[in-house]
Order: sequence, then structure tokens, then C-alpha cells
Amino acid sequence: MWAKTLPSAAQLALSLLFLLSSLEKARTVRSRSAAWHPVLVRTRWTRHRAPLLMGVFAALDCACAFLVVLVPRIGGLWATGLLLIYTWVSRGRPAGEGCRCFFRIMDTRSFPGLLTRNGALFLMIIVILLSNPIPSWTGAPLAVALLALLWTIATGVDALSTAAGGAGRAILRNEPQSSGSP
Amino acid sequence: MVNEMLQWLLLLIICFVGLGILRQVSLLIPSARQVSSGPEVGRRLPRRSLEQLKNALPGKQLSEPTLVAFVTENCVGCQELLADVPRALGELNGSKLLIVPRSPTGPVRQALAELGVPFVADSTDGLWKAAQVTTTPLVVAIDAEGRVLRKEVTHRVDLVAPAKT
Repeated sequence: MWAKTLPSAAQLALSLLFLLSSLEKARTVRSRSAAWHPVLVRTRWTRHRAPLLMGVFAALDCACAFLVVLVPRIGGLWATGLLLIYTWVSRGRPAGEGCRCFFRIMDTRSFPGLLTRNGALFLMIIVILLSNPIPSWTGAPLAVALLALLWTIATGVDALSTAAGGAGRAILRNEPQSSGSP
Repeated sequence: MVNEMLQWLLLLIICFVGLGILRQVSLLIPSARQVSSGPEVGRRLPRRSLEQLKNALPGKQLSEPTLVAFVTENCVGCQELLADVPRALGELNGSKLLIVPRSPTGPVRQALAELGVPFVADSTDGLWKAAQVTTTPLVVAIDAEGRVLRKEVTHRVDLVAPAKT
């Protein structure tokens, strides 16, 4: 029964995550703070085009969320491309602060944590590409379980990584936390 | 058929509500630290910290008051504060604004320079420690002698500026 519902669970989980990612980007555009996003602030070119870039990627994420359900193989490849881009641009992100990923629900605070999470997402994509599942709500409960497992593993790797690294020392020195104001 | 669709619609709504609650929880936990963030109102900042602040200001002088905004690179509220600065500058009622970023990278320094607002470009570890910043974005209003008049964890610097007289 597991094996039958796993592909549709992966499909639903991935779709939901990309929908959340799209929401987070849309929220950033709405708050007019795209130019200060840690990835887009890096170069003058991206700073000056930040709202456009953020809006485009919000649309790509939204499209991915639907394609993964409607046309799984194309959606899976689309998701692969987006995940590769996001993993690549997150390389230089300062450790210790959340990545603001997936509407801050599946946040990671270190690059190893982000790699672990995205690695697990790639595994889900592989399952989708191999099985080409028909969309079905029977996978919904398992999708929730998969997301919970993913969150637990990524948070664990994050905690280990930050405890071992400089960010962990900073936390022990009681350094500032972001307020997370909405 | 209709009943089934309604059930799934209800499940979808419950999922989104649940996600919204999860998100709010993730925001609330750091917010609990806001209350004690920043220097005590009425106290003066240490002399060395004041010198560092003055050196970053045009004319190397504090105004009455000077709004000091402590920001980090990756905090959502800090980014909203910085994006709001061009608007807020018109609402400061004569106060000066100074940005104090935490260990800014080169690109962030360039972006702050483009913003046209004074900021502390050199190492700010000592200043952050002296100001007891635990949550960001923190805006502290100090007088010309460096005494703390007011502080707020907010992404709107104009809320900490004195009212128009």
C-alpha cells in the first residue's frame, strides 16, 4: 500500500512546497523588499531588477506546483531545474538566519541543512519521474508524513551544523535573532 | 460527488489554516525575545560606541535625536526597513538616520551606499554588544549626548522619530 501511494504523496508534497515558495516570493514583492533579499542584493544588476526577478520566479514556482500534479514528468524536470538554481544561489548565504524558504515553514539555517532538504526533494522528484503518478488524494496523509519527516531531518542537520560551526558559537554568545516580523 | 468535493475543499482549507498557524508559530518564537532587546532607555551608550556612530555621520555629530537602526542581512523585517527608508526619510521630523548593519558583506555595503543614508561600514561587533541588540530590526533613538530616548523592534523607523511639533 505504501509503494502505491508514495508517488502521489511525493507529488502532492512537492506541489505544496512549490506553492508555498511562490507565496513567499509574492509576499516579498508585495512588501517591496525584493532588492534587499540576500540573493538579489549581491549585484547591482539583480538589485535594480529585483521585483521583476522575484515576480518571475514566483510565477515559475506556481507553474511548477501545478505541472507536478497535472503533467508529472514535465513538472518533475521543471522542479529539478528550479531546485538546482535555488541551491546554487544559496551557496553564499550567511549562516544562522533562516533561508525564508517555503513560506518559512521548511526553513533551514545552514547550507548543509539546505542541501539535505533539497537532496530529499530531489529523491521525491526521482520517484515522480520514474512512476509518472496519476494525481490522487489517497497520497495526502503520506504527503503530510513525508513533509514532517523532511522537516525533522533538515532541522536535525541544521542543528548539528550550526552547533559545530560559527553560527552555533554566536548563538551560545547570545547574538541577535531576527524578529521575524510579518 | 458534491459531498466528496466539499469534503476535499474543507480538507484543503484546514491544511492552509494549519500551515498559517505553523508559520505564525515560527514567527512568534523569535518575537518573544523582542521585549529585552536593546540598551536600557535613559542610559548612555559607551563612549567608544558613540565615537563609532559619530564617525559614520556627516559632520561627525549626533542630532537630537539620531535614529540608529540595527539590521542584519537576512532578517525579513530588516529588509522591509531598508526598503522603507526612502519613504521614511520624509517623516523623520529633522532626526538623522544611521544604519548599523551586522558584519555587512561587500554587496550589502554597496547597496547601503546607493541608499544614500549614512551607515557604519567597519566592524560593528563591539557596537552591537554595547547596544545589547538581541532582536532585529531594532531602532534606537539617542540624543546628542548618546542617551537612549526610545527603542522599538520595528521595520518603520519613522515610528521611533519624535512627533512633529
